[in-house]
Amino acid sequence: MAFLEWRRFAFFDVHKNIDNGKIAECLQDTHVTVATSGNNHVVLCDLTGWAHLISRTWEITSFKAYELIITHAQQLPHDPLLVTIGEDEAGVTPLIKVWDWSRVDRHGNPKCVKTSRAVPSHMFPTPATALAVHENKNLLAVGFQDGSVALFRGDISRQRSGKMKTLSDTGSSPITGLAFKDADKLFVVSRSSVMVCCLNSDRCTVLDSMGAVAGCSVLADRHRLTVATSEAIYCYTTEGRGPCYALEGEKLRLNWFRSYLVITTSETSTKPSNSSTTPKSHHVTILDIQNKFIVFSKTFEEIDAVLTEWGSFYILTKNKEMIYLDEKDLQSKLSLLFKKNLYDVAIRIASSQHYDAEGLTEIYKQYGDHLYSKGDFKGAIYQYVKTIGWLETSYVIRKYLEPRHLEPLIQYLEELHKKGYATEDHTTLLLTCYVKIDQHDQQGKLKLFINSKDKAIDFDVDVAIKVVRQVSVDDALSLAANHNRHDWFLKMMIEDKKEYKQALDYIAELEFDDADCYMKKYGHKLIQHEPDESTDLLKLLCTDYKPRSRPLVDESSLAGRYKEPDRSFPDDFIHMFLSNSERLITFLEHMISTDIKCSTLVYDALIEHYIHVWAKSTDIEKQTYEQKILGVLKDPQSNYDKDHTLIICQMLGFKAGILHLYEEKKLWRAQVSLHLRSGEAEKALAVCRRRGDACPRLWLDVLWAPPPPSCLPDLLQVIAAEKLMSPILVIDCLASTPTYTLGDVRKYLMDVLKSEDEVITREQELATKYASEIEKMKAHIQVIQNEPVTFQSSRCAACNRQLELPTVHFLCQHSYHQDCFQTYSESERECPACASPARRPDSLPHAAEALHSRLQQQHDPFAVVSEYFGRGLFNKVTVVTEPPSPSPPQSAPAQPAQAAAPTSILNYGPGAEAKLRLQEGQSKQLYVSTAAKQMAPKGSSVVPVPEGRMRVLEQQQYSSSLEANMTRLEPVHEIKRDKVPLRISPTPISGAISNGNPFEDTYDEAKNPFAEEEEEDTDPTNPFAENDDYDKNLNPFAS
Amino acid sequence: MAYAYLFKYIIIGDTGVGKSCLLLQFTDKRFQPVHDLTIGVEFGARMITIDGKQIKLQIWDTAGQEAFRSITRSYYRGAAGALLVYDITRRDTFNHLTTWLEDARQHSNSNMVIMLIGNKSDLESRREVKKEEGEAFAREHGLVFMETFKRECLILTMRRMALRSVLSTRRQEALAPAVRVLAVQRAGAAVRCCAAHTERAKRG
Ligand SMILES: Nc1nc2c(ncn2[C@@H]2O[C@H](COP(=O)(O)OP(=O)(O)OP(=O)(O)O)[C@@H](O)[C@H]2O)c(=O)[nH]1
Ligand SMILES: [Mg+2]
Repeated sequence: MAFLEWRRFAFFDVHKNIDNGKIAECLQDTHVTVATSGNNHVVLCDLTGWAHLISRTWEITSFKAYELIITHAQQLPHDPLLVTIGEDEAGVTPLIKVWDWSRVDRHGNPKCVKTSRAVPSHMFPTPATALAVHENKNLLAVGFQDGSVALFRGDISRQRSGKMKTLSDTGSSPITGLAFKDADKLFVVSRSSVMVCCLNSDRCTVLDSMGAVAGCSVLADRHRLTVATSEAIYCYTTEGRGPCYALEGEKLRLNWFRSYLVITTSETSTKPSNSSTTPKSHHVTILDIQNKFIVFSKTFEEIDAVLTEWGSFYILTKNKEMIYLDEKDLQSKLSLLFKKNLYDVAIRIASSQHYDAEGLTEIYKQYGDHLYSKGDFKGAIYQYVKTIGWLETSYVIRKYLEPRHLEPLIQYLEELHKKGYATEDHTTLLLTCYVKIDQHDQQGKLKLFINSKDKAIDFDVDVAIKVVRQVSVDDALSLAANHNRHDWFLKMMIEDKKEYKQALDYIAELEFDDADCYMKKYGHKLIQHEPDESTDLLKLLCTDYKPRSRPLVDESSLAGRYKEPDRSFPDDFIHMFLSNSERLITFLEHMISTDIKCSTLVYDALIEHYIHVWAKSTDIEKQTYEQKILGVLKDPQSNYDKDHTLIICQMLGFKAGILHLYEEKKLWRAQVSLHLRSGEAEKALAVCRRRGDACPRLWLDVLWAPPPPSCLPDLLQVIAAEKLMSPILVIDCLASTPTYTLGDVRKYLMDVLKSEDEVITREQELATKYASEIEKMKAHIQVIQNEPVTFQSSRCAACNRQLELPTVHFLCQHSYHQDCFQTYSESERECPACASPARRPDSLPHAAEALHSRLQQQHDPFAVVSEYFGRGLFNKVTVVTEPPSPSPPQSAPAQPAQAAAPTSILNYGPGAEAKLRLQEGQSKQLYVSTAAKQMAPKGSSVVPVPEGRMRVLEQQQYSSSLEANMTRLEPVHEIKRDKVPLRISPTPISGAISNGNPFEDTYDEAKNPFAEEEEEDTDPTNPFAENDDYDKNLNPFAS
Repeated sequence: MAYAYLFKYIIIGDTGVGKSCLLLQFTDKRFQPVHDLTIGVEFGARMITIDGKQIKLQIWDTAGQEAFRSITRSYYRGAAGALLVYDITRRDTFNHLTTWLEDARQHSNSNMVIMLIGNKSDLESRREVKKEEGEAFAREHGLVFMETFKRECLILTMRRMALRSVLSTRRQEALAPAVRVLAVQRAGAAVRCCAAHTERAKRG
């Protein structure tokens, strides 16, 4: 047989006599003419006009359909309708009958719903040779012996409906097969041709000029007509002939089931024995057209019918035996194939039957294993590749670890990557393989892989770089470059290649953000090795950066949109320069020279490094640097931190800077002392002269230095003129310096003595004058006491008119009209004329205001305050003003005032602040003292506190003393609003200062009458606590 | 899918020369290492674009075995071109070319383009038929010749074939405007194409 070449399997099991002989019993000795099936039933028609309806349980319903014979029959697949063609009378045109076997007629037989003549009445009767019924029950075609085809349209289950017509051009050879393709096409097979008729246009097209015998054409898959000829099986679509399968042999029957083509051929017995004795035998072949297999092939005795119903095949032999062909399930099919190592077939079958992926994987795996064991490693890997995603990769990889398997392994790994199942380890392995294979035969696979821009293989670039880096840095570099892994690129360039220049060039090509980021990351190294270029790049980066390759003018700017250029902060880069001061200076100078506003840090760094360079450089250079530094320092734009700069100047001894800064901060005393320490008394004096007006202390500072004798005259003159220090002290001071000669101070002493002299004489004069006045007054008193007084003024001291009675007379010789007196006088006992100038309230200067104005005007507020102290002003606490709206005392439980008072100080208003500041001051003091210890140059015992801190200290002292005192007084004031006489001890201030609690010493807690009221202070509703704008400074001075 | 032209090509040659492989390569980009004998005739289709026009190529792969010759002969009809394949590693397949050529000429339209393909040129080590021999044969019989083993070559070849077919179809159209061969729609395209050829044959 020509079939030999197609692979042959036995996918069907044969079960004989499945019906237990029931059919044989029913049919007895007649023969089956037609067999059809559908709607779960098989219909057999026999020679005698009987039809047998067989159910799945082999129950048979038989009825007489025709008187003579049934020639054709078709059971509709989904309806209980059976269409038959047969003869009731011999020689008469055949009759079409339609049976509805769901209904019964009077005799209990299936009901015949329609009977009609098959041949149109105008034609000669001719035997019908083919029948086709469309499953839509509206189309029916009958083919005839003479080659004509009759088409009925209309409901086939009704007697009176439908039209009939004969199709044209169907030739004249007997029709052997008819098949509807959809509702508009009809395949017509005659003995001599295959045609397709378009039912709507009634046009017949010849598809092929060879025909087939009856039964040898079938519609496969609902659209392909399959026709068997003696040498082959041809497929036709409505458009023409399609593929064909060569198959020798006389075909008897074609059936189609699912995807199988069932071919019945008559077995030509090879043995030339007498054919009358050996029964004819038929051969059944089942083809799987899709996969090109023979899935069943077996010879049976003569076959009457092949039935495809109930999900499988049934063969009815001439001997009326029903043979059941049971299809094996997929699993057993596959195991059959596996046994023969036909894995490819198994795969084809499995996938055509939509086997699940896991199952398929298993087949692929087995196939792979099989090929592997046969030594076909490449073939095996091809199968293993298909298992990707299901099969554990290590299973495969383990098999291919030997070096000779490199290529298949690579293939597998590449696939793994392509499919996205690769892990880091896989990438590593793949790259290692590449490397190995490259070592071996220089295929350059690694290069290829690296340069694959479009990433044909999906892999984790970072991992790849890591691996490649270990092998070949160059390759890793290009890999990194290809995939824009800037970080890796730079890292390798810098760490492995040490090509700093290239790294820089690379950075210069990057977009701003990247460039900025990587410069921050690697700038340190780069500056270290390529200072010039790095600095240049940094300059760019911090001013107007553009990737180097980018055209100067880009589109956006052309389009008129101005984009704020990206720029980095130079601050971020300063630390990278480390000790490379020169570079840093050029960098920072550049930054400052641009009009971009630079941060303090930039200036600080610049100045610091300037000074460092200055410190190291030779004298001539020093000059230029000094100029530069001062230039920066004096530039009003420079936004440097003065304290910081000062410290640096001090550390490195950059005097010019220190002086400038002192000047800026008005620390003249520090300036002076600096000059003095360096022995430049003249300069110190110059400072004094410049600033002495504002700060007379300067002179004294110079004096205490002590200055060289040459300066003394000037100095002493000023001190004397300004009375800066008492001459005794001056002399004391001068005396402590043994180098001064009398000549140096003679003039001063003379002047002092002279002026002292003058004062003494003046005082003495005054003393005598006062003594005489006293004498006078005493005499006057004597007169008043002992001698009568005559009031002899005739005019009223008030209205200056003639005195008239009644009058009031005072001993001071003032007389008034009584009326005038009453209007003018404030008290009965005083003479208004004498009392008023002393009593006028507005004439009194307001002490507090005076203090404030003085504090503001005077350059040495401390001196003012201490003066007030000296006058004992702070002791005199008399408060007259009443606080507004005192809240009624609350009846809160008594609490120790001792506890209450401090809390009030702590928590409320300015008291709290003072306290805080006090603490702050203390801590500052602490710091200063330690700092002082550090700062003080060894051997110098003169200056305990460095100048830089002096002012801070002064301020702090001021705040801690004055403010603290004032706030401490506040509770006292609050107490007073209840008009309870205040018994205040004479030392509350000092107590306050020393103890921090003004009441601690002076109050006996038990006797404290205000304990209750003071509770209010802790009350959050206390109006005074919140009264922030209440001028705390006014109170203590109110008179 | 709509197409402007439909051309039918047929692949012929001795068994085992790789006809089915060529087809598979052309249509499916696959390579089948096992020799699955072609039993009868199979076909594949592929769209290509020439001059911005969609052209459908219908390629018929025939069985090379002598036994199937009668079946395959019936498929020459209506073919616009034939790929005559031999295996450069087997001289006998080259020797049979004359027979094939006769067969083709006899059963097809006279204007059918025939292309000679020396297949398996990747197996250089086992070469039995020199390239020059193939070229000579092609020259002698007025065929287009090429050796292939790469898919790209094949596609190129097919394009060349298709181009020739397009040109010749256009020429025909110009000659006989009455017979519009321009098959535009899917239905009946092949048939009409065939009709054109028959028409021409009759006149010639
Ligand atoms: N090395 C190589 N082998 C090929 C090539 N083309 C086909 N083959 C092999 O040749 C064998 C036959 O290929 P087929 O295409 O099945 O042969 P065929 O011409 O279709 O044979 P028939 O169907 O019998 O006419 C197969 O094993 C292929 O693997 C090729 O270009 N190179
Ligand atoms: Mg083949």
